Amino acid sequence: MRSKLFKVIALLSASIFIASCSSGGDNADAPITAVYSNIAETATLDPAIIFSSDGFVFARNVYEGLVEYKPGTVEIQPLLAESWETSDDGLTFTFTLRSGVKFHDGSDLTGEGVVAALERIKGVNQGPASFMANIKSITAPSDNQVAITLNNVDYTFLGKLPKLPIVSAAAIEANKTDADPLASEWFASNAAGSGPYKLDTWQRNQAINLVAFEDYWREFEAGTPTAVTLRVDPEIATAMQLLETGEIDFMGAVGPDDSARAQNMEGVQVLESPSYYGQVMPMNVTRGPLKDVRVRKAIALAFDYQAMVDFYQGFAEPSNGPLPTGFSANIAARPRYERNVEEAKKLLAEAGYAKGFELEYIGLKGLSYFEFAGTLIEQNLKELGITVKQTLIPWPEMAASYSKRDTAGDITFLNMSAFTNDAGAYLGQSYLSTNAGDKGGYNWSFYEDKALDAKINGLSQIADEGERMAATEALNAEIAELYLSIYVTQPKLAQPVKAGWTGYYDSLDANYSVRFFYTRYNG
Amino acid sequence: MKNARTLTSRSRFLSRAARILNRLWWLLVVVWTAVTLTFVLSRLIPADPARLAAGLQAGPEQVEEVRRQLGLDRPLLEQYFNYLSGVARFDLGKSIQTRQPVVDDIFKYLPATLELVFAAFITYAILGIVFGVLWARFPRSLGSKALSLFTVLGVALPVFWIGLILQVVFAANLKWFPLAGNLPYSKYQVEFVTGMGTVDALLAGDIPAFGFALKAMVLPVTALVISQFAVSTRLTRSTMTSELQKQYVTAARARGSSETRITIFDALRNALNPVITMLGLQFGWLLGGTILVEVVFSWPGLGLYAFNAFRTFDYNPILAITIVITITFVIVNELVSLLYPKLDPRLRSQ
Repeated sequence: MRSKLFKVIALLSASIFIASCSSGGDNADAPITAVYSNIAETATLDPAIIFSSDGFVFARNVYEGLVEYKPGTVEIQPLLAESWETSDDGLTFTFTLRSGVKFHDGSDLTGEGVVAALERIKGVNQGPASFMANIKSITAPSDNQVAITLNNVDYTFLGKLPKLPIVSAAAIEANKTDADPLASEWFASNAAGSGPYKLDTWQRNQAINLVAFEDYWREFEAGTPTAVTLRVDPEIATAMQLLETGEIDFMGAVGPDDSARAQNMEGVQVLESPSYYGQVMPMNVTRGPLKDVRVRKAIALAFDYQAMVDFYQGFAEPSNGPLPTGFSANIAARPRYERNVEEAKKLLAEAGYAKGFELEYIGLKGLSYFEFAGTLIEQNLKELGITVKQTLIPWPEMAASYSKRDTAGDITFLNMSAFTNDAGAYLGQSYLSTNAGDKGGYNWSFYEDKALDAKINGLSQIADEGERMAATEALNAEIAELYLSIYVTQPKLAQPVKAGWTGYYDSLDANYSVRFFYTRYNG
Repeated sequence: MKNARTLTSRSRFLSRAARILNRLWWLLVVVWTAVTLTFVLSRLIPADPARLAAGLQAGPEQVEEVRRQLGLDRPLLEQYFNYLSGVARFDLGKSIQTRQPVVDDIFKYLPATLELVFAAFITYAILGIVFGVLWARFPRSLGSKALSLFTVLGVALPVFWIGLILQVVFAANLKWFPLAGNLPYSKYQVEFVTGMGTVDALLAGDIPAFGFALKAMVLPVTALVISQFAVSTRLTRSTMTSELQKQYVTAARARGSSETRITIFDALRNALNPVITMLGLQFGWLLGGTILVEVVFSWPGLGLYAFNAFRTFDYNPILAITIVITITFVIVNELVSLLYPKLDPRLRSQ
């Protein structure tokens, strides 16, 4: 009995010793694997459903669109489509497809295949399908061409195409059933794209492993990772330690407060990418004193913008209006918001609320900056005699609260991201009547004005880019004067990454996605 | 005489069968109550899973389409009876997020959790009883004072904090153990068979992988043991102290029995019943209690699955996890109640 026990202990010790010896250091000649850690794993691999940062990082490396955003910019560049032409009426886009492109299942890229892939996104009718609402028809004029016809002129349409991943039509055909004609069940846990990486294994709740696609139409340059691991570490503190010990290379979903902490860590760099997102505190204009623009302006003037910027330790700057400054030089040149309590008091008195009133702030539980912003506004508005009641709730509850006007709070906090290079679409997310919270959108100030809707919707129909931007800038200024939100800060897109890596995070993909084909490791 | 024996054995059989049926009936009542309560509570919380599943940019029509697909547009009572009839057919529905059958998910994630839970349970049960006995036997020793302090800390410190400290000291600084995760199957080319890293590595005959899987378990198991150890140690100490003061112990000492014999064969056996009851309850608690440990250590088990389900208000996994924990709780406690008569002869006649 004793000798058996001894044998078991000896075996366990030997195994641990062997494991210790075999988990060796880095080999300079070894293939490069990029390990990316995120707080949550994508629920599905289906690119027709994926519409959050958890999934984008998978979809953008395995699938490709007809065009893509040049890394680190908002410029469009060819991808599966080599070139394109627009009809004189601006309604039809004809794309010429790249030759020699293969999907991971061995099939070829064809015009009909692209039609089937785009029709599938429309048929699934989830996240990415929202970019197809204006599409009237999709046809294949020839084997290497695709024509997309719109209902209404949209000169920003090309910017939507990187959000429409093309899957293998052969895979749809091979895996569809009578009950599931779009092969949704198969695409939920399998993949057949044309991207630089193909799905190797998916250990749910642990890691998605991607490997370089051997028949990819572009060469893998030196330093480009040949394998990618998308792992899940729900606790950010754990992921930060993994980064510091060199076990992971990239992190997702890191807020500016964590980036500030990471900049002092050894062997870690903070990778900055252009940011197209802003933090806002929408004010519910449908009830009480917040109906009055003077009250809203007073609240915006009382807010301590610098305190919020200080909280982020250099990883954010004060905001200057509804649009992020990256969209144009003129937008960037607008004056930043500053605190002015005396002016705020005057405005409040003018509006007849000199004695103050009560407001409810609804914020997200568990995220430090939501709580900080709530406490800050509570303190700031106390100086105006306004009492703020803070309610911190989990995201599902917060989204549900704002899906009804009577349960929505008076002030809340949102991170607003651009999904395309269209500044008008960014404004539309927050200010179109059709995007009011009770209609499923993020217009959480519930402001509704048909004239404003027409102006926002009209932007995409201005053919000349310069004119379009001038109209956008004017509209940005007009919306700023409505004080529908407090424009809190514009955080930098700065993510902690293992030293030795270069590349970009994609701001237009909810900030935390990385296209690893464009990253390089020379550590 | 023969007829009398047959009658006795038949009545024993019938009595046992009635007892088992009675227990099964109670199991059904407990599971039904837990499912109904969880169902009602999950629907009372003001959240919209269809909105979350449809994604950030989904319009009202897309949200309604998802709601219809998920059956969330049906009246609440209909949803409830549909769910119950599904449970009766071992169909626990599909996850709103993963769109996979929940039963498949449970079978996929439960083994990794059981691996942690069994290892932690066996470790703290043994350590708790051994140290509890020593504490009762030598109450004024330095070791007992250290144990007293350690058990207070174990109870007072949150388990996720213990986990983070273990990571900083033993993984990040000393580099003795992996910081997070379990066996990386693809790195070791080990096939995913049971979901328990150690077992799968052994099945593949891969000793380095087995060693890694063992090392990966050390810190999460230690965190669970530290958080649970105090209860079993303190309870063993308390019951042992009480037993050691009873007259039969004095009588045994008077008969010249050694202290070791009295402690192990007389007092401990009598002291174990409440300890085993508590260990049974703790096992059930561990299944749910691993959530925080699995989150801190990125352990791909039922706890992490539960964490994601709660985060996204994914109804069906939440209900399924409730059922699994309830059933485990009831079964373990039934098994514990079967142990009582073995330990205490007075209970055999009851």
